[in-house]
Amino acid sequence: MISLPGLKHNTGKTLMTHAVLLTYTVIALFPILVIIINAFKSRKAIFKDPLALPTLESFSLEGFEQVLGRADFGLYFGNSMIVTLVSLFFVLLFGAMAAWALTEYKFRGNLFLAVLIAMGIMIPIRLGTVSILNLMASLDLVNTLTALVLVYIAQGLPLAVFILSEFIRQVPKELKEAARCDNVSEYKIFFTIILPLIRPAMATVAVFTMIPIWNDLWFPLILAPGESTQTITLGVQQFIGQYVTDWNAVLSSLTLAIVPVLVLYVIFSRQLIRGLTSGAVK
Amino acid sequence: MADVKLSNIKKSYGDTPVLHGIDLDIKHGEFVVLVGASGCGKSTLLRLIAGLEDISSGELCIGEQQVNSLPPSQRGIAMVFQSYALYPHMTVFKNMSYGLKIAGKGKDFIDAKVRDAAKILHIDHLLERLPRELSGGQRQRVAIGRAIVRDPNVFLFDEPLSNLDAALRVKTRVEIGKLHKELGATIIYVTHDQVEAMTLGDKIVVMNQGRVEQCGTPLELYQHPATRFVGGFIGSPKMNFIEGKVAAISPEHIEIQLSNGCRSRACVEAGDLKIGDAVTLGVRPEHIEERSDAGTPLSGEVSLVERLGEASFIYMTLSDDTEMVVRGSGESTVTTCEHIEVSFAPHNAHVFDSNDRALRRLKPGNVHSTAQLAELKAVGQEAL
Repeated sequence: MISLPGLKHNTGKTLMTHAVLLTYTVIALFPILVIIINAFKSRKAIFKDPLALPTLESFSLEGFEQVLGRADFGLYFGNSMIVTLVSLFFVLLFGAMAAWALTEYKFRGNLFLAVLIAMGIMIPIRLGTVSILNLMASLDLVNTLTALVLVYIAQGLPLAVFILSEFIRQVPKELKEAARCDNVSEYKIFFTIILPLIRPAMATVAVFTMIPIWNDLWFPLILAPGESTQTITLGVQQFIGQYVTDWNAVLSSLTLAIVPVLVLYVIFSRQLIRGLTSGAVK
Repeated sequence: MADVKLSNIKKSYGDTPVLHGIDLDIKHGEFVVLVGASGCGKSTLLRLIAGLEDISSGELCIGEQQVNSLPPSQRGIAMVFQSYALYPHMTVFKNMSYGLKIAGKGKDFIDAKVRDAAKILHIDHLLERLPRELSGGQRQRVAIGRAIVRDPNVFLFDEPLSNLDAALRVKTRVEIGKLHKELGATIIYVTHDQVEAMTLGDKIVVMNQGRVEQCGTPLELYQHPATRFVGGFIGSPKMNFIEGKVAAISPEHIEIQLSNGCRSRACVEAGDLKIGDAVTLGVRPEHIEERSDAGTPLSGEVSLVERLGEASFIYMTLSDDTEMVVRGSGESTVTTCEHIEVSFAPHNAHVFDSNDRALRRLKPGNVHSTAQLAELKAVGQEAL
């Protein structure tokens, strides 16, 4: 029997990796789990033992009844969905177009634009909140979903351009050249050849972009706090009072708020398949 | 009809020139092979013809039209890339029909065109597959099919076989040759493989460091290489080179004092050469015989023998450390470290002057055996 010290070492390494990853997963999932199990418990049970699973006695749907009973809760959901999806669409579209332009074409100011966009990743957009509010006020966009969409597009674009540029650069140049020989216009090359090939990257960017938008409290609070434009994160706040907090309702609405992002995530993650370009070139 | 005419084509990237004025005339229906070592500018030249890169100066005409500033799609060319460049998310049918669809051709027309091309290339059963489900050879056919359906005036092939394995390469090479006969189209074909060049080309253009070294039919290049580079490039294994000095000049031949001490005759025109000028003698491995009485004798030690079955490549080192290759018979019993004597006939020698230009050969011939040589001599004497 030959001893394989390398293999043993690898097993140890694998175990370590898994231990670290599992620990991280537990830490990350724990609060979510607590939210979900408590959403299904009565108020008393939540305070008595927050970590216990709902039992027959403690099981209660009073939080959900309260949340779903309010008519405006559907509106908040709708607002969040509209803002997230519209922003996402434009971030992906403009991000991919900008990335294509910056990587494919040589023009004056190319580098300057690239640097400007890279800086957008480093500087948090919240630093500009006051100016943004002023701007939206002058444009008469305060308390509209448009204001939120515009801000989120600006917030999502830099990272989208950055990631998509890397992927577009990896598309073999022969493909574009073959298309040019075929008399395919530059727009067609972008939409029918480049976009389908960078779908996995688009999905990655979509996930990265979607979650902060869905979860954001800051800009909805500042730019669109009106009754008809509240998003779900803002809507939850009404259950948190200065003196009394309706924990059942808060936890139930948070549980409900997880569902749409989760669905979107599942959709996008199915696109995260590697090797989509295999077969294009040897 | 589409002749391709290149006049003084130059290309530089920034301050670095890569092509130094290329002149080339390609007739309609000709199969022209651009060949050269990697980095010699052959692919760049093809890309200039395709319109994928801008020409720095000079004039490129396809047909009667100057096409310097036209985009690739308006030049009437179709290119087959080394990496195939198939659209990975489209089926074979869509890959082949995409150009026609963009051109706004009718559905029936496209369908007929694609099926015709697929039939010629024997890929009609693969039309609904995706590129990733095809083998390398099949992908290559699809790439060629995509070029065929567009009915171009000129086909451009950029090293189309270098991604295929050896057996498939030979097979596809033969098919490309047949295809050229069938289509009767002008083909410009880039390769670094001199066997492909010799077998496919009506005309071979040997390039070196951004210049055309020589342009001619395969046999012209083999029998009359104009420069030492061409001599070394065409033929496998490479031509042997031995340094020497001119010792005597006569109208039928010159005599060369070789660096290993031997004296050799070579049937070439002396031209401007004077006695004492440095020259290089070139002999192909297949023209050296494993015997000492075929002409100029050379002796050395065998360093390696490669046995191919039908022949043996004998690598030997002469007394002055010049390395040589001899193509011996398949039954040769020579072994490593043995001391052997070989010889070659004067009419098989090539001579290159100090600028590496070849001197004109007087009796170019490819006489392999001494029996043939004797026959030739007899015929010559009768004529006298």
